[in-house]
Amino acid sequence: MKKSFLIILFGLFSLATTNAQTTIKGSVVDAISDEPIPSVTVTIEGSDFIVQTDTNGEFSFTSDVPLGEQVLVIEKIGYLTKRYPIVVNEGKTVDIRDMSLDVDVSSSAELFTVTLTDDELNDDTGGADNISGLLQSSQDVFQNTAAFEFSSSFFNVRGLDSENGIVMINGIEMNNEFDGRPQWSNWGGLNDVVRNQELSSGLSPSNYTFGGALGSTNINTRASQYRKGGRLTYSSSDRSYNNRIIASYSTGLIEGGWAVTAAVGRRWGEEGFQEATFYNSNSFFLSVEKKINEKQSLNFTSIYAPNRRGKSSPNTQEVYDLKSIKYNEYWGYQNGEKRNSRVKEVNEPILMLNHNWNISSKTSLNTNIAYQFGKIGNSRLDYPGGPNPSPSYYQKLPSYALADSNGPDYEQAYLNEQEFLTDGQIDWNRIYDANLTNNSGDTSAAYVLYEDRNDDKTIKANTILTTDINDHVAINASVNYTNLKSENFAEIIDLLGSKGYLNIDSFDNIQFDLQNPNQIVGKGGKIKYNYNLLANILSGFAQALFKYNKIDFYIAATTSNTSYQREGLFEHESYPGNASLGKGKKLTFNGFGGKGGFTYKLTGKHLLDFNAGYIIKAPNLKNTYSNSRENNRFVSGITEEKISTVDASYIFRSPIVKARLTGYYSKTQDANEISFYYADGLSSSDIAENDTSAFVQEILQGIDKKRFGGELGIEAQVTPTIKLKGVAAVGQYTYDNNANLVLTSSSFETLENRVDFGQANLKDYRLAGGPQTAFSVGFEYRDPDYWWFGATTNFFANTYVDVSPLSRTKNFYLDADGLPFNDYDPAIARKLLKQEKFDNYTNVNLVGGKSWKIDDYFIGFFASVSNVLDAVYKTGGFEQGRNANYRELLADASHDTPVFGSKYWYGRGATYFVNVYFRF
Amino acid sequence: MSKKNKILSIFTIVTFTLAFTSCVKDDDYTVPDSLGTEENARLNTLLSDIQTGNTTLLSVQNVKDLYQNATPAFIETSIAVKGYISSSDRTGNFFKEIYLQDAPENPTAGIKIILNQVDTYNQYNFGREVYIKLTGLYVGEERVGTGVIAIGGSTQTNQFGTTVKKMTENQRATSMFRSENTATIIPKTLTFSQVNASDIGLYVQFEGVEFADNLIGLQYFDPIQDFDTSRNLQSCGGIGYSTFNLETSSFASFKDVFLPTGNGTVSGVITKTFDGRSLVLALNEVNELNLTGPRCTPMTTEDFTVVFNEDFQSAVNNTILDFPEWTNFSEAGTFKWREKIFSGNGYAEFSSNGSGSVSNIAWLITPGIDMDAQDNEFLNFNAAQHHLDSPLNMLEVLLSTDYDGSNVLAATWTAVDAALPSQSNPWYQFVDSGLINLSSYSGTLYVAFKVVGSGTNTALDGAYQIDDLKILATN
Repeated sequence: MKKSFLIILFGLFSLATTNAQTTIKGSVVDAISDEPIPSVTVTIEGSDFIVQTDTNGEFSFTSDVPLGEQVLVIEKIGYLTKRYPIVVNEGKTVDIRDMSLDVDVSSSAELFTVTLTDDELNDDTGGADNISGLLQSSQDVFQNTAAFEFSSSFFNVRGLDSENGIVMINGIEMNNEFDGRPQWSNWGGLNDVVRNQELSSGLSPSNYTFGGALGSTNINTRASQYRKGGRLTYSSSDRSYNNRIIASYSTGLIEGGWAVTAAVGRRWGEEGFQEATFYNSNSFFLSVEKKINEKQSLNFTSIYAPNRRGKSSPNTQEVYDLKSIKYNEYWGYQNGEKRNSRVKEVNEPILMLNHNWNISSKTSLNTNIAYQFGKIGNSRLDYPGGPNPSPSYYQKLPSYALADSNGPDYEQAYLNEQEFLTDGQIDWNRIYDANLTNNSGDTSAAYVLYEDRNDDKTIKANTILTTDINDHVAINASVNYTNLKSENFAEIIDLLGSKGYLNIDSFDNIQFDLQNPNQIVGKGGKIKYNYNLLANILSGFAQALFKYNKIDFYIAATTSNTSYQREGLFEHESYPGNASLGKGKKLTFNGFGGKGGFTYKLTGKHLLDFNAGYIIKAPNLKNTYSNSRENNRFVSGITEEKISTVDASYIFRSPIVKARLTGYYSKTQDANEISFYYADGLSSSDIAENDTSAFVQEILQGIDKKRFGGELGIEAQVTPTIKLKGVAAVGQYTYDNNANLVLTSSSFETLENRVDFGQANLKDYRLAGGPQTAFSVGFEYRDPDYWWFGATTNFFANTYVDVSPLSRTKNFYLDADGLPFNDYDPAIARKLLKQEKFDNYTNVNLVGGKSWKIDDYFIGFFASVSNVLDAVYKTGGFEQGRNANYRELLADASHDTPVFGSKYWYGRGATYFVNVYFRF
Repeated sequence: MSKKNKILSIFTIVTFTLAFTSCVKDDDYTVPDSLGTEENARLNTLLSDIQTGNTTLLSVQNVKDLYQNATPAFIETSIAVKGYISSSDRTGNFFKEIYLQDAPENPTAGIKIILNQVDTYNQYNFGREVYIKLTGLYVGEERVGTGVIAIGGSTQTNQFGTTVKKMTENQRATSMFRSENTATIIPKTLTFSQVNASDIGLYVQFEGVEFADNLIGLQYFDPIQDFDTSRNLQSCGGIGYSTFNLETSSFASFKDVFLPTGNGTVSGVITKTFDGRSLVLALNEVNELNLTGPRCTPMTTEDFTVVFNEDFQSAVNNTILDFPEWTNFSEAGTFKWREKIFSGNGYAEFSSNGSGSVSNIAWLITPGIDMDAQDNEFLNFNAAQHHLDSPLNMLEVLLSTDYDGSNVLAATWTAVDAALPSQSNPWYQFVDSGLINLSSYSGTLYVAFKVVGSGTNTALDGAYQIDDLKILATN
């Protein structure tokens, strides 16, 4: 309405308030709730003056502000951007209180919930890791596109996975110690209340943490920070869940200084895109804030989002060709219903207490303590007394019969094919029958369903100081403490009709627990492995930010002390005594990080940005212990991982066009990777000749990786209603050295059960994990009548299979006597070991919606269709660890269909998502 | 109630109603009710077909007899067989094979079933009553000449002859039906010397046995071998040890278990070595050995007084046997027993090879032995074979007290059980007969060795050798 006029009026008023310094200050509120909005970007258009509003929605520009008629641009993700004209007079203060922002009904924050379903954020279904959750609040067109358009391709910004991005809730880091990744599903289905996010991308400084190479994001759940009102959302989709409902309500600040925000959500479905991928999740959220006085407030947050869902399998090309890209080998019919054998359950409530203390107008202290507990369970079938129940087990497929050593067995191949085509799922009846048959002979279970469990109890506490020394210098500092007890074990969840499970390794009759030999274990009992991992981490962070007219710069440092210890609760027969039982050696790592950077403002339109950092960090738990399920040993000579990274950007912004061009280079050194698999074709003078197949732990140690490339993002508001977007990412992510490879296995009769294979010749192989090249073009049309639609075309290239390091060691070409195979041909070997590059592909996504305002209420609707053209494409894959030598790989590759071909993940075909909400 | 609160209440109600009515079934599964119904239906159809006579139920021996002339028999008629599972692959000692015997107790015939399935034990468990609809299946051998008759699903011809191949998964599902009964299998108790080809596939027990002295401290499987390891079992039934091999697969889960050192009982399934030459015992479970008693000591000749002894050391190589008072008689054909010497050892041998006679029946009879001069007499001898291809090419041990020293066919001859060499013994390897109790005899006793063979049928032209014949009496 007449706000602009009022503002000009304010501006005029400010003439009166004589001041030695010219100042522009003000505050931003929500147009409907009148609540202050923090983290709003306020820019003086055409200049290099940018600030963000604080928690009270306030901002100010103090020094050397441009005079005369200016335009303030006020923007925040989830709100419609506004431009406010002002007049600035020398020596006067322009004070613009309560500029209002309207919620953008088509905002990306909404879009986020559309294009990304929570399961995609966790790594286990796609095989790749997804960083989208980190970037969802970004206003940068490149990052925004990466989050929303590239997510289904598992695109990693700068080739870095989510381990390099720190996710915080109220300043407390939520990345777990096991693999360094955030467990997104811990707060899944609560989109309404985890929307207040602050992103610091890349090395750019955050007020809360040093951050990772990819950046950090802080989710703010303070009850007083939510807009007063409620919201009910219903969604329907055919991606992971079929239905979602979320109800949330915030009181805003009410009498007595209280504020309460609560949300309840449920997501459920019988089947997602892949067969038998059911979804069953409830979510609860409660945040209560009490304003103790003008300066202090205390906030309690609890988040509980138990989640169960059926997983889907990666498959070989042979399997996909016989079935379809929806095929999932993990399920079978039981009593006429699809039963999935692999269920992931995440049930980890978070309790958090936050104290916010504005000591002065310049200094605040934020002290937080969080406790998280619960379980993560991944179920699977064990088959100690029966054949592998997997319907796509290699011996059941046509390729196996065709690869018969006596020549192709066409008859059997046909039978295998027919059997797989007509059935090809888990035979639960046979499994129960086997167990019941065994019961009659007093034999232990042939099959059981068990869960690999991680029961973590984490206490985290920190305190974060923020102080503005003067108008130019601000300081951030924090001290953090983490204590973790992680209980790891396998637990029987269904005996499948049997009387009990014999707790020995049925393959070689080795006792899993010498303390209780030949124990018969029932439902709820622990089997296979049982140990605790203990971690203590103390870290500190300090940062100084400098802001001047032409240049902003910062410098930050962090230091950490990490200690790990394993405590074995089972005594493994292959590692008797303290080798597996009791507490192992305590490991200590010292981390350090330093970074700095500047933004140089050539003019208001043209900016240069440069950042550089060096991070030394403790390896995560997953990659520290060489075989944590069986013994106390750790990777010998393990050391901290080092990451060095630099980037430089040119940023252009005008009222119509915003663009950023960035070049980056990063190098990781001394990383470790531990993996488990069944290896065939091992050859070493240390391995008995009839023992060339074994279940092994592969330790790849001292890995260096190199990532460099460029990013370009442009958006142009060509008319008030039409916006065009274009994004390009071109990178090259490779192994940068030949890391050392060691295998350990209880089957090896060598010293410490390990065999050193020396270098794995990985240098210059591409890293797996999403496309290394991606392009996107799109447009948005926004009708003034509150309806809108958009379309985007995305192109992906340079996606590579994850290579098997073992095949790149001397094991590949050396026979058991240490000499090369006499038929070894380097030219053929080169062909065999060439890394598979997946086909390029193109995705088209459509989205559109409309909203209505009725009195004070909003009703909104939107729908999206992803992959409209139903493109079929591989998003990732890995070489199987079998066929680890030249002869076997050559023999397998010579068949039309390899028996041990790579396993792949395919992207979803055309899928939809529809969302309606009601807001008041 | 304000308007907002009203709306909120409605939301809450709707939310929770939806949430709690939208149950996703993801755990709490029970044993499927349809378990086994398909198999039961097929079994019932088969049983009623047998009842009505549409299908004929044959004995295991009848089924084995269908295999003739080294050519697998394709079953086109409606016949079926019933049996009880005598083997178990739980430990991996059997692989894609099941043995079936005709009765849970006192079995007379066993047969092998070959199928493309592992871990059959958890379906066709030990003692389970199983019906096999044979129509469309084959009966034959996996390697011609082994004498191990198997039911399979197809045939192939290779270096082992025309042989049967494993049933496919589908053939198994549509042919092999379990009944609800699991019988308790009572092992057939045998001595080593009693084991013969008709015991293949039967679950048997040996008593008073132990592993050979040189095996102490070894494991069931010898890691330098690729597939199977034979371990010698011995028993003390006669003079010196009698022996039998226990064979263990490299895939057996107990392959690395150390051999027990005591003496006791061993139960398992009689099978043959891969090449079909020797009968062996294979364990289902490692606890089928109960070797905890003290080791035995075999009797030696010092424990006896020698009443009669012929070691054939006075033989003249390759001459017709003409020892004084011995009878060397050809009932059919012209060939007779001959004196032989090999590596300084003399013995008697009969072979019909080259006789040209369609039928050879040759007798070798000892001098008369006075059975009244002492008590508790035993007969003991060693026998060997070579080129033996058929059980019809037979050696018999016969006794008579009314033989007049010349008219062989006029006397009354009684056959006695002795451990005799069979096709499963290596050529030229002398087998101890065991101690054959003669204490019930009195008067003058004659011992005869009668060989039936042919000079024109190459399957019947093997040779038998006799050595170290003794009549002993306990001191």
